Amino acid sequence: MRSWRRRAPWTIGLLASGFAACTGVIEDPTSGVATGGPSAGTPPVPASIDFRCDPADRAPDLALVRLTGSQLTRAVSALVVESLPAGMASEVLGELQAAFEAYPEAEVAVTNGSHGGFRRADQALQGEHVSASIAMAQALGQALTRTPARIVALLGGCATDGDAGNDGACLRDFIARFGRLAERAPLDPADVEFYEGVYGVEGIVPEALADVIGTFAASPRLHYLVETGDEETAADRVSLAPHELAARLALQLWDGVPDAELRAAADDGSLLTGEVYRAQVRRLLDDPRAETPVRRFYEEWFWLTDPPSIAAFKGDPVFDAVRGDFDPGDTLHLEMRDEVIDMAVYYTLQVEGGIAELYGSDRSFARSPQVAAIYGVEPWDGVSEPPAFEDPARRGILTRAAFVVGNSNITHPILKGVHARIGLLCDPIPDPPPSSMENLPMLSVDLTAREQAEQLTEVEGSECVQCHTAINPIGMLTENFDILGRFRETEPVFASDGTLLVEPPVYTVATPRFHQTDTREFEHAAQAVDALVESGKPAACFARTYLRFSFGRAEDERRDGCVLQEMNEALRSGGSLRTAIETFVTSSRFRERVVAEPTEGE
Amino acid sequence: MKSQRTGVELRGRRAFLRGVGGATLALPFLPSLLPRVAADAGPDTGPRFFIAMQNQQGAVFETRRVPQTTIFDEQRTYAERTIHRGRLNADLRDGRAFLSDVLQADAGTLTPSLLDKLNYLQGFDIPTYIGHNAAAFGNLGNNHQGGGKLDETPSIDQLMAWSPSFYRDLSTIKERSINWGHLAYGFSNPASRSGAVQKVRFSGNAFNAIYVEPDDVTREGPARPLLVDRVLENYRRLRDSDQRLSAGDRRRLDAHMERLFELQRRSAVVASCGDVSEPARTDSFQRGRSNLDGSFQAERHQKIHMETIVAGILCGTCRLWTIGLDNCAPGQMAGRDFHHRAHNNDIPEHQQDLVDANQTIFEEVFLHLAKELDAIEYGDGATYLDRSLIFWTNENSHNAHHNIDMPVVTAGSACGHFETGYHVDYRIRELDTGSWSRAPRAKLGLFYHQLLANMLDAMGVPKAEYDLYGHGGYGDLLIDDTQRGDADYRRDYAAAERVMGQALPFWVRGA
Repeated sequence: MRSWRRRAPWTIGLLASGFAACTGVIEDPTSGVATGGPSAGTPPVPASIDFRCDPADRAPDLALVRLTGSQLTRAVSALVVESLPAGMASEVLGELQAAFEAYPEAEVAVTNGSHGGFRRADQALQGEHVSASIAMAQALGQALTRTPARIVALLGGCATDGDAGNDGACLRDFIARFGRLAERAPLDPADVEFYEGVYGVEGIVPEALADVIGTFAASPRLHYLVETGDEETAADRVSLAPHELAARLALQLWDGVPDAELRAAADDGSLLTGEVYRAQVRRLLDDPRAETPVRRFYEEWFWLTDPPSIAAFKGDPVFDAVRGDFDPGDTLHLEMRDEVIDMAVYYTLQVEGGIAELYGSDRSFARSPQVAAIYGVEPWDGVSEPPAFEDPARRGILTRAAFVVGNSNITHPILKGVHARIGLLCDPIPDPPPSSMENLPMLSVDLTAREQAEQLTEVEGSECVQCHTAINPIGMLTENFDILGRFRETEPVFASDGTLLVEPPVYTVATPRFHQTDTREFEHAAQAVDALVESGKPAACFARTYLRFSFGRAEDERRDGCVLQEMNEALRSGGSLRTAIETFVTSSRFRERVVAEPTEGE
Repeated sequence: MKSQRTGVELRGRRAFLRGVGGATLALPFLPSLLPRVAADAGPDTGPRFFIAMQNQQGAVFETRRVPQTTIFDEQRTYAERTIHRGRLNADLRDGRAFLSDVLQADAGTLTPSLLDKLNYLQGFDIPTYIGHNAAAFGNLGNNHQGGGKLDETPSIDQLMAWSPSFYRDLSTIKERSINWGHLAYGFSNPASRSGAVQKVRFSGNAFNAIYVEPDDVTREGPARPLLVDRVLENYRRLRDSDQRLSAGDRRRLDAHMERLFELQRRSAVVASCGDVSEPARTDSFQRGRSNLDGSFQAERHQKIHMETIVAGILCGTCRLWTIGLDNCAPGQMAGRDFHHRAHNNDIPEHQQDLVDANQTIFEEVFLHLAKELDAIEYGDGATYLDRSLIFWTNENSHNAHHNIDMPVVTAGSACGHFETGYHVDYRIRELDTGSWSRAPRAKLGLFYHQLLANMLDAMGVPKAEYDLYGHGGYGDLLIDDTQRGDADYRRDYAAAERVMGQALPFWVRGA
């Protein structure tokens, strides 16, 4: 006889956590902006998979974008590396490490709804950004001028030739060269004069030189993307000047600064020609430095930033009963995260993979023994072809260990469903209504996770069912994997003290409705993969999230429609993920600056 | 030896600090540590200190949190209701001073004299459904369920930080505020009170931020201009140039320049921390939040946060602190999603976990700080606690997603602005909210906006600087009925709305 003792705690928590929703927010399909208010029982409006292009109407860029902490330290490091011989540069970078670590990194900032987010969207300026930037600048100035050898390396032989007559020219030459790197564009005469004023003394004086270097390192043109444009193409937009385009491109594809070749293409203006520009795009993407922003993109898109520890549950009776002899390591959660990101990077940069490969892969990218053991394969060496899953039920993105484990001791079909619906498909789900916590039914303690979710959120006629019909089924498809991502055919249900209560067979049949018109039922997640890809949602979601990641803001479906549709079409026509990125950075949108308010000073 | 400022005897002060409750401060008390006070006319123009702390969730039932030992022997009519007050009164049980399951501590910690400086205030409501939120310190618009119904506004500490009425003399102030966690919000350009409201956070080494090194640099020859001056000039060049910058670009440059101005100001700070040394910490505390034991979390708050607060106050280099606390839940629960505990708080073991977590915070964090400040004499018979207001609340009240009757525990009188040692009940005792299926139901009170305004008043911030909506309280006000399904919410709150700008009786001295 079943014991009617308490509700399923985690499910109730999920109802009110923002991971479940029972109200609808009406979206104006033409504006892409949510309007209206909460309406109990209204189904959520899925995201569009097609976009309309109106070249005359563009969503504005953020004002004066500030570099993230990692971008900034990379920019300062490049100054050192390009100014000094290798061994000397390495010493200096070591001396700067503390200053780099003291600079606050950007936080993941939500751009859409209540979930996910991107570091590039964190544009809040804190006092410690400014104080840390000054400290970093001081440290750089002191480090680069600490020894006569370093000064000679920076300025050349004129620094120590004993000829005071050439000191002025020596300094000006240094200012022009170093400033070109620091400010990502050649200095104009007024700028050179300003920095000469900072120097302010005769002769080669280390302290004065340190001040010049420090002032460069704290310059607004180093810390921000200052884009004033080349030519005004409309009242609210300008085409980027060559050096601005080079800077934007390097930040986009390397999270760094232009190298010598890119700078040269900007200097002679050839970067503005289509052929040269496309060649540079390909070169940057072929470079190993391209992996850094790509990794970050997928980490943020897939909500994998700072995953919760799995090992922290050791000692919980239910968790211990489920895990058995498996002893999760302290970094298992990070290894699972890396497996997904490695997969995404592989299909983006190493092979010409597309959405079908990213969402439908039957390969393991697990480099750690524990994750590989969970998958039943050998660890991947990162170079050779990734091992294939032996079990076809593993196929697809939904079954990745990082996406099926939860921050609890039991599986979470609702959480998994929310992650997939919002994160992988970009369908918005509104927040739950205030009444979601009221009058909850008492459930039997020996229900499976699926049964609990159904009884709490799929009661016909309730406020919850409309939204949870969109959420729950996707999560149910992967209930054949336990809280460690291991395949299972039965679902043991435990009492809170770890006593086994029941162990029914797993039931994963569900109708996920990846596209709202698709009413097909599937046995499990692997069987549903093709439908997931064919829905068009993943391609459109890639386009949306890549724009959010790149521009640090929510997409405007109408005003960003052109570049969204270009990426979307590239992917849906079978193009690779890399092609989609190339499409973005070669679009006219990427190569111009759009402002929200009229410019001043004209 | 006497302090240069107050003439108070300091002999033996160090021993006194060591003896109090096993104090762990490594701070010898020297006259040079006494903060400078502007020689203004008026009854008390000395510094006041504000420390606000909040832990997420809440969801502790009223009967487990609210003092159960109070005898309400005072009544008044206020805002069309009878309000009640009684002395905080602790029962001694097995060496522990007990007011409630949450508000209890070792009797050596929660002494009668310390109890006399606390307050528990009941009956402050946020009458809009905001669910999960960052509203505790005044940004009511930052929430996950509000649907954009409320404006985002700065948290009250940021209004204080940039008010010339709070910091009347900045000559010793290195940091206007230190903000741990994600509960402080300010204007992107706080000096001009313009721009979007954004998070204000501090992620560096707070002790280094408030500490002042002895200046032993020997200058040879003329000093060069400070780097910050040069950088400021460079920003000004760009901002004032005729280059094609948008209005938004220039605002961003202005915001950056304001912070450079602040850095310039801080470079001229004259203060002395004497022999203050950084509190000893283990490496494990330096790792940041660790998903481990709740006691570890509480100890970390003590070592990294509370003792730094005391140091900053004694150095005179910072007077405002906000902190988002870890949940400090018992044992391994601290590392898990405590969220589901709060959403199932009627399950006895879950409610007990919530009680234990909040009790740990009360005794090991809140009282730890109150006690340390109360152990240090400021002068004229007052302690540093007497010049402070420590404020502790939760994200929600007695149930998850519920913001009626927010928990409010305070310590300190803010230089006698508040009467202390009381449990005050501002609620309409006869009127249930009627919402939420779990017992007990909350009773309607006054507005949280009034509480926030009263704290701003206590810190000397004029109403003109914070009454953004003209209703006298602080923050955006929306009375919506989504937290109740029955009677007229607005009717029942009409009186509360009328008094929102008033000093709270039974709390504010003379009100």
